[in-house]
Amino acid sequence: MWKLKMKKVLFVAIILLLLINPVFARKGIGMVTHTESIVVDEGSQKCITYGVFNPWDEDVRASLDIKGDINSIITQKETQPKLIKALTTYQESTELELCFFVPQVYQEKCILGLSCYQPCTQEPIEYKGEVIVIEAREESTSGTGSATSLGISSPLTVKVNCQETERSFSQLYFIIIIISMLGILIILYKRYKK
Amino acid sequence: MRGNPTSYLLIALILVLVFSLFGIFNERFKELQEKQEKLTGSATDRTLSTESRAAIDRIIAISLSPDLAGGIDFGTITTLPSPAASALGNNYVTGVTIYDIEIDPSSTNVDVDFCIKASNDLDTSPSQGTPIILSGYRWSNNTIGLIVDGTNPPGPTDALSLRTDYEPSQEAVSSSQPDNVIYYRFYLDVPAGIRPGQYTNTVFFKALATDPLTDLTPATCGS
Repeated sequence: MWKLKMKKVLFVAIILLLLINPVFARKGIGMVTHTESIVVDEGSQKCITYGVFNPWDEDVRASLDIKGDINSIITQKETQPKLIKALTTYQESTELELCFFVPQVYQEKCILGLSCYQPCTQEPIEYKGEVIVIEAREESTSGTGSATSLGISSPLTVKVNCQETERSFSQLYFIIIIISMLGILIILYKRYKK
Repeated sequence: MRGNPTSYLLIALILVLVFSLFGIFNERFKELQEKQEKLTGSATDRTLSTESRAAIDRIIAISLSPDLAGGIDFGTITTLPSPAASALGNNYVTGVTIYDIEIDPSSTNVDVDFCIKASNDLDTSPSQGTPIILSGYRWSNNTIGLIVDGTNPPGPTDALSLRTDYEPSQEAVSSSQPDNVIYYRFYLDVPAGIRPGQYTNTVFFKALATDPLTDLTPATCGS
């Protein structure tokens, strides 16, 4: 009889726990930052990833938000909120990708648009900003008050690699060769014509 | 041929042609040499070395308490003016706030700075022209007054006004228990003459890794 009573109490307790748990479940996100600084060559594309995980009991949706100068060179980012499964560890992170294309930013020095070279004497050009993993949420208050938003931020610096080159006179020599050959041909043509 | 100016010009052009051909050959030779050096390394570079590298990812995991995740609710305010109206979760059970942010100790390997901001004044949708201004919306947490945990109520006089730019709310929070939880309280000044309606906005919480070089200065919260 006592055992039966205990079983009933245990059963009710389990049911209560199952009912109460979702009410008190915490919701949040985790972010894994692999790097805070990358070096990119001019005129090239580079992608980096951020890990997003969720060690809590409920699935969440997360997206990337970018602030700062780096916005101007971004070519691809995960803007749509992605489902991050509950009870995931940082080893099981969902990777969100961010890609950059860096245009030509360093000025070459040329003679009449030819024989250019890259001196790399100026300060390295950097794009700075922050990458924020935001937990997307749609709840709002029933009365006067505020909805809340949670984010984890990581700074990011994109350094543009200056590839130093020496002045090459090949193009100039090539033009001089063509001009001198034309001159020689004209002189020879005139001479044979006579 | 002698004395003929075109002959001198012809000789000069041939010389220029030869010089230029030599120049091009020289440039190509230099380029090839540079490529070769890049591939094999300099002939004088005899030292062999290797670099050891170990990269450790920066990991942060945070969560809002269920009540904070559900929104900061001031309920229905019936008395106007209502200075320092207390959010419903501020003293949920005799002086215990149920608004908190927790760092997950098992998934965080850095100290964390926290920042807070609001989107705008509290306003109705559509706006009725007179919002509840943000300077009357205040927050407090562990760092303000003598609050050490969720059971000690921070008074509204100690609380700080929310702004539309992020500002540090707590710095270098350890991920180790029991210091890994920050308790918040919120207060709202509702002036007399405010029109009936549901006044809302969004409060943003942002976490970032504490920079060990700048942990004595205010955290850089960004915009």
